[in-house]
Amino acid sequence: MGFENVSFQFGDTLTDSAMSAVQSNFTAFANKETGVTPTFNRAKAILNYSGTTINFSDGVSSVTQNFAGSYNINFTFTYSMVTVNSVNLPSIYALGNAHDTTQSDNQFVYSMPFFNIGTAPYTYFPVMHHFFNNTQDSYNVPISATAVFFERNETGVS
Amino acid sequence: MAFTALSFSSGEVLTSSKMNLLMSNFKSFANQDATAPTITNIPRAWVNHDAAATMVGSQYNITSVSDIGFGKYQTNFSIVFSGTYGATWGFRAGGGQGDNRMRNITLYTMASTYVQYKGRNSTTQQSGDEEFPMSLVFWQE
Repeated sequence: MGFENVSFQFGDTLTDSAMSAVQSNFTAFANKETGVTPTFNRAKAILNYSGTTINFSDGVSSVTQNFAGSYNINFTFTYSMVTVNSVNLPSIYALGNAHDTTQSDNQFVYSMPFFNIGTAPYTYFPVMHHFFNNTQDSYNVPISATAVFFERNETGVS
Repeated sequence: MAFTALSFSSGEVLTSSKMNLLMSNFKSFANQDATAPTITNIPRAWVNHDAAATMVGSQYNITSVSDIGFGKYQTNFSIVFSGTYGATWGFRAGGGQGDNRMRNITLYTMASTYVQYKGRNSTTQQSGDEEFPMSLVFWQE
């Protein structure tokens, strides 16, 4: 379907197709169909994964494993680098946390850092899953990890 | 007010009630009322709470937060998640520049109607559970 940019002119006869398009635009907007204007505060990409298995996603083509605990999140789009206060940064930024254990008495602090890849083409974000405490540390495969990506400039234009 | 599924037919006279329903659909859609199309890529629920499990400010699709042990919390949803959902979070903890503890939230139970998690800290010398204020956001496509 796609989002239909319906316009009405003074003196127009309203047609059922135009009015129905207005109504169906709700669904098109909800589903981020082709033609939807990028929207403030709405994630550009979202992903939930268990190892290389994607549980749900939007804007993500695959998750590839570098080694157990180290992954690349591959996008269906190419982001760019932008200069902010003389610092080059990706045009998207990421939030991410993981469900790492089922034990309430688990003794570790878990982390999920993202990395900039630094060189074009900018089509993926590397991410790692790591834990440590005062006696040991290691990489781990998350039970269920969530990553959410937003546009840095908030205009939604990539 | 619920979202109304409207259809328009050729030759139909547009009534004020139908046009008003179309207009009210914007609000119903924005509020994600039960029958509105589900907007993708936005949170399904969120909550902020302090170290004592008291909810702070607004929350969305949350009924309550319980303290279930030192540093441990349970957040209960007002919706039922079917299938896998995800969580992201932030927190406020630490004692300033002299504090060298690494901290994070450890999420250990994700059920359809609640989650359980705890604050955790560690240095190279010690580790332990910890109470601190947290914000959690839940996602699903």
